Amino acid sequence: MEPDKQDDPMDEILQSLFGGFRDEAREMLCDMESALMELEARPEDGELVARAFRALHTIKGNSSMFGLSELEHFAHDLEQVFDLLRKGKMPVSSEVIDLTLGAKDRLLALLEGGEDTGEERRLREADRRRIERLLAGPAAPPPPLPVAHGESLSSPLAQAFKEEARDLLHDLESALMSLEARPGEDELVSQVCRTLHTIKGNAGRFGFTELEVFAHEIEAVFETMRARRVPVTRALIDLALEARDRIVNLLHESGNTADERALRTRELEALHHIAEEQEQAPTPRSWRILFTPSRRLFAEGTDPLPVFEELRAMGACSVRALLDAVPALEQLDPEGCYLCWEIMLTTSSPLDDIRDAFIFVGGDASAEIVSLECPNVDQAADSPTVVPSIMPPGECGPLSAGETRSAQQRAAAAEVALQRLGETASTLRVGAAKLDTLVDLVGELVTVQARLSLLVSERNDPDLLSAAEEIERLTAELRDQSLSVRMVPIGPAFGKFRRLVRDLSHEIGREVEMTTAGEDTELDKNVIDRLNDPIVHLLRNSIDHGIEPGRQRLAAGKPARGCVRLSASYAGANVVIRVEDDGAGIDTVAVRQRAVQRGLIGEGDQRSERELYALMFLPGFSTSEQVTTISGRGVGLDVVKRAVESLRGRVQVSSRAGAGTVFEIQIPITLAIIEGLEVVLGDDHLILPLAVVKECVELVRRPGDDGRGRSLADIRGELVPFVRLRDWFEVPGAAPAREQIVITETDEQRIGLVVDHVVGGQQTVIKPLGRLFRDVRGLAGATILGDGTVALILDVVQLLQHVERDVAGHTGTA
Amino acid sequence: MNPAGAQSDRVDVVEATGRLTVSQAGRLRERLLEAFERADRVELALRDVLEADLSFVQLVCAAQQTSASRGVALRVSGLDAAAPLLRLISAAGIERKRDCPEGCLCLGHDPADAAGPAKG
Repeated sequence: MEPDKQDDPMDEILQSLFGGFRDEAREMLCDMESALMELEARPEDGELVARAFRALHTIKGNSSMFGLSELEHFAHDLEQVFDLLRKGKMPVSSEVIDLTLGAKDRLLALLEGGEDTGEERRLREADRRRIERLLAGPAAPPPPLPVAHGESLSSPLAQAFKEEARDLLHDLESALMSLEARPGEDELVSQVCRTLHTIKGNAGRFGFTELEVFAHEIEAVFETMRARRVPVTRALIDLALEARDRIVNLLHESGNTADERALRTRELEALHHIAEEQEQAPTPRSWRILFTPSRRLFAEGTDPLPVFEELRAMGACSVRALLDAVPALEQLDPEGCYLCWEIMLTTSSPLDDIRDAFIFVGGDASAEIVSLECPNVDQAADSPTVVPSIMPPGECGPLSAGETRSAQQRAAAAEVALQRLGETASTLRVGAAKLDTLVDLVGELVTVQARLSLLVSERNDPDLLSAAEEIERLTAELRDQSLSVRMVPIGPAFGKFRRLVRDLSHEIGREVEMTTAGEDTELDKNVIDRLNDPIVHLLRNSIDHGIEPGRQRLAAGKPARGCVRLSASYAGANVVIRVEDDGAGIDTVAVRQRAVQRGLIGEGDQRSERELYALMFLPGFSTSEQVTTISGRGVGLDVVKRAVESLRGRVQVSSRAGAGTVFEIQIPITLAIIEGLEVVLGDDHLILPLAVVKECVELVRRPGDDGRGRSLADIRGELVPFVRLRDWFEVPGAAPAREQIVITETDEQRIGLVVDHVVGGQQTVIKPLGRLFRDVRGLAGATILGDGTVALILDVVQLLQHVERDVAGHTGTA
Repeated sequence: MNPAGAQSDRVDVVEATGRLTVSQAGRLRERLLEAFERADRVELALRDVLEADLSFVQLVCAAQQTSASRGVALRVSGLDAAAPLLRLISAAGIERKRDCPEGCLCLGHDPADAAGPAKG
């Protein structure tokens, strides 16, 4: 979707503005998505709702400016939902989150443009209808049920529901029992709520109305426990367990008897009764408020007395005016206000209500609100006794232990927001194409500079030499700077994966929590883009097959909720990305069996664990049937490996049975520059990536070199196969009498490459080969050397694969 | 308010009447300063108070400080009849010294400070 193009000199400016809008909107949608995911975990966090609302509002406004009416209207529809959430007129429910996450994808599709397919339009319309229903409120009729009530019990869909419900009920039972053992564990209460919620939702969808209502009532009681209004007691858990058995019966015909119905009613009544009895009023807390009005209080005509009235209405309150700052008559400005107040308040009203009381006392006023309850001495000592100087009205000073965390979080959030503001003010958005051109030009400059240095060194002119050295230094700096411009933090990409994990885990009904680390790690933007697929593969793998179902995990003594951790960190000139799970680990016995089955290894071959893992990355190692027979590893791992290797990286795996699996991707920070080893082959120069080079030795000719495929060299007693590049590339002429062999190591395998001679190491700017050469295998690109000649850069991994295949072909036909 | 003072020998009575609000505070301050200049004892006489705001309370507080620093006694009279002022003092948490025998408006919360020139 792009704004209408016109034959207008303004067109280019408009297009450029539009590019900026699209980038910004993309980021906002990305930020909105992460806000929604957080909101799911913390539905009470109003700032998250506000963040999403602001994003939609901005996108709406900007779309209107560019005449993107469909985008504008759809953003507006969605914005209305957040408006209600923001005003507390609608609760944050999983339905809202699901809907808004989906709608965000619709917005992104509209933004990215392209053909507005029928499918997208249909999805948008469906979302619109759901939004309308949400906006109409709870009184609106529910969506039509796919299965009419009554025929439900025997239909295949209903069977599927029942099977799933049985699993869920099992989970519910374990969670309830764990909760009985550990009543203080909030997560268990949440788990019970979630399970009941899922049962309720599915029951509703499949027309099990009675079950839906029953589950809803139990969920409501547990929601009060989640909100800590009702304590978790054995009596409630007993009743909940009984109620769970009623649900089991409801899934069968046996639930339809009058007795069962009576039991259900009794249980619900008992549950509600106990819950109501134990429902606690929020505990009152004591606060000390230091209120300093604006010096211009009298001149502004503001009266602080209503504030005191409001506070008195909240609970026990003592107001004391502090007159210490009032000067003698001689110094007194009769219109200035020198008074301030100390207020002691004991109230069960939340802090926000206290803050709100001070809303109308003017901009320069400050109200420092300090909780007087510090549960232990250390924390009391942490809160300064003297409240810090001026704070904006409504802001909170040092708080008690209970409040400290949220205050710190707020402070951190504010800091981040401020930082963002600062960054926005000092950043400039530049098209990626311009950057690519810049890096290209710098690459050429580096080449020409190398040539210049070479020429100057031949002239032996001290002045020229000094100028050339200066240029060399500046060029290196320019190269580093321009490359660093392309570096972006990997954090936003991680955000996208969070959604994937959420959706996948919902899809397969498995509790999976994703944690991330190292979001600040910077990588070349191109690298990040191309890492997307491999990481998606690995995460899918972890969730689909690594993490066991909840019951199995509980049985193994692990928490029911699995954990996937995605992290990034620097390791020299590389970045390491790890995908870890705390699942069952890789079943090496099964991998072995599979490898034997596939003929990859012989029946009696002894292979180390590491070698077995390496087999999983071979193409065709896994098939779909494979997934069910092995503990699941292997799906698309060859795809992952290929993608990572195309980024000149490598992927490794380690695993411990029962404890989990770690996939580690190591990739160079940038693709634009490579540390290379320059070698000569006849008249040609070649560059080998230094990362794979282990050593260079002189080749000692041995009888038996067949000059065609691989031969073996004796490297300090170890036989290393080698490939003659001269033969491989069919370089004309005879090889020199003394050749050199470059020993490379890939995938734990050492292979030598025989070249005429080795020139040395150098930093090389990679230039793509262009379309004509795209089918040439074994080459990663080209570079221009100091003397102006072109050198090809070898893709050693790919080259060796081809050699391998070629040798296998010869052996096969021999 | 009528800030006109009626001077006797060494006592200067400053009258405060009507609306004791910020609009009158400047003039009342001037009048009080004049009284402190020429008298040994200053009386701030409250009459027919219709309205009072915090600027007046603040002014009394400032006058008490001037009284202490200059050694000129200050007495605030007629407080019992000034209902609007009493309501304000109570609502705004203004503390009065408790040991003032004449029910005078002695501001501050430390009773020990009550002894001194400001005592009415």
